[in-house]
Amino acid sequence: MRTFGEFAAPASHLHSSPNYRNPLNEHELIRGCLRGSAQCQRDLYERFAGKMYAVCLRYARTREDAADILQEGFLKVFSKLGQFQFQGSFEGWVRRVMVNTALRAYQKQRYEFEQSGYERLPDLPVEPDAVAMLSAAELLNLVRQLPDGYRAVFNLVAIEGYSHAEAANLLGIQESTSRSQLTKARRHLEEEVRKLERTMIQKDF
Amino acid sequence: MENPNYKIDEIFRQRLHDAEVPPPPFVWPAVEHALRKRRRQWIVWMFAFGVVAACVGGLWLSNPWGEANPREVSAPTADNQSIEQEKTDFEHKNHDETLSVGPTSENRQIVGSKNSGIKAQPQKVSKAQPSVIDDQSFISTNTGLTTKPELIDFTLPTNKEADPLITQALQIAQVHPLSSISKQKQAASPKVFKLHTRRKKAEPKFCYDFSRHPSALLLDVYAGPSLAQSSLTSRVDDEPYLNQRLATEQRSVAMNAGVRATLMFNRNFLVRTGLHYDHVTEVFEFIDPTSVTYILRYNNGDPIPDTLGVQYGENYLKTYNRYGMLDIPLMVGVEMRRGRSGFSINAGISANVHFQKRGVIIDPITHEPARFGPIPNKPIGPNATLSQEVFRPNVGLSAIASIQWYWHLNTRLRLFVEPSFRQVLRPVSLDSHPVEQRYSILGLRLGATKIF
Repeated sequence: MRTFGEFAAPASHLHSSPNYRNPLNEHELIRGCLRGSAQCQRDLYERFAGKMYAVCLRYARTREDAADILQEGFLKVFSKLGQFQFQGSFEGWVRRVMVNTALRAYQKQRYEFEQSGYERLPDLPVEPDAVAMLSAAELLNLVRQLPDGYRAVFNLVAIEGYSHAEAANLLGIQESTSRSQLTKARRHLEEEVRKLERTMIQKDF
Repeated sequence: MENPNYKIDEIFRQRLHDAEVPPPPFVWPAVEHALRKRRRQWIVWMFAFGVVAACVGGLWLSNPWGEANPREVSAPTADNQSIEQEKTDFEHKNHDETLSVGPTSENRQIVGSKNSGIKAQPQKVSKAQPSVIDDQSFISTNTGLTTKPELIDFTLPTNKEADPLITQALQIAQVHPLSSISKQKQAASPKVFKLHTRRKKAEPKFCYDFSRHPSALLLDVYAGPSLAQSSLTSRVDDEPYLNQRLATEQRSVAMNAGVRATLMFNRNFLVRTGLHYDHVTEVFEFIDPTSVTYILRYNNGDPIPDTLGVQYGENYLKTYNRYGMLDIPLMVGVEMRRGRSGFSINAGISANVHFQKRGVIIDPITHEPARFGPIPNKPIGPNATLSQEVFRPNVGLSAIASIQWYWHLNTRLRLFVEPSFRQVLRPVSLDSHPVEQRYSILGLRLGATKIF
């Protein structure tokens, strides 16, 4: 099983591929994929798989779910590639496909918006510096521990930059629900960060 | 004051938005497999669409029902009704011209009915017939005239005692024959009469008369060269082994042969089955520039062999891998003819009954050349056999399609050229083998057909 230590070396993993000795530019890759070239499809996958898997991990409950979402998302990318207009960021387009796939999987599974025990507001907000001290792997772990409803809203609004209206539309919920879910997600995260802080302090002593 | 929560959001965004995590290695093979499956499904759908389009096109071109039913042709369409009306008008015109001479019913009977017209006697003419009955008989005769105009007989009676009134009426009829009106109308509405006047083309004497015998049994014998495309892809992330396979195996010649029975029905439709054999030969060429060979001698009872010598150099091995596939195809098709030649479009599936393979490939475990298939008594090249099974005992189903162009030598024998395509639907290698090996074969069949 892979650990978060792999966060540190995604580039070396990609650059170890012989296909990157003479990398094609993005548009050439897309055109190659549209022609049905298996090599271009593989190159495209290798170019974006790392980032997209991180996206999938943020939305999925488990690594297995994330791998399923990644697989389904790339199949959609290859089948809908003709719809890409060669305008704007291709990575953004792929990311949008992945997010939509993840949300659809999330809706398919019909997870209930779990009632967590973090309704009570903490006495004081967590210092941002405490969050900044955490590694990307720890932050990702924190996001993945959020209940499904909170996690989807937090990912869409706080990380992807969607508005509440867009997030509500994507998730099929009210905008007010989206706002309250985000607030609860933040509280949840703060509580988890505080726990981590305490653990770190105890270790130091 | 800045909301610290938003600061937290920002930190999460900065750290996680562009984060990368290497995906599990099994995702790409799964994606690749699904993509290939979709491509195959697309090919099959296009195939099915092509077959349906060819059948519909063939039906439309051959029009097997177009010339058979005269009732359908002379159905009371608007054009036909207007023709009837015109003929009636013509009759009225005759009636006006002969009104002063005799009753209308008599003239109608004379003009329309050949039986009563030619042999008409003065006594009979003076007898008035009920006009309703006359009209009916006229219309029915006219209908007959429309479909069989040769039945009209306007010859003047030879009887010298014929009534001059009758003679005059017949002369008028000769001046304005009904057929002239029909011709005018025919020009006005060619579609209606095209079917009436279409004559069956005379079949060349070299061709089998399928119009007379719409069902026939055909026997094809064929053989020809092929171009076999073997595609190798890695199932797992084992690029070095795949590259070794790609570097050592080259496409070579292929051939096909077969015998096939065809049932033709309804003049244009075909069902084909028989035995088909595809033989694929590939060149295996292996070069090991740093080969070391130890020549050892084992003495009886001594577990340690004597080293007689060591050879350093380049190990070069070239051999031919042979794959043979015996299949039972089942195809449907549609045939179109024009004169002495014609073509048919065929598609279907082929079930493999025997898959023979023999040769040398790189072993996935030792990465050295190893034999597969039946090992001959005097092995050439490597003595080692593969450490695990590579190929399936049977390649299963294939999708096949062909277009045949033929030329009649005589009524019962014809020669044909038939480009064909075959896609083996599943890999010929086992799922446990790290490389997926597939075949698609483009063939050219040259053969002869005997019609029974």
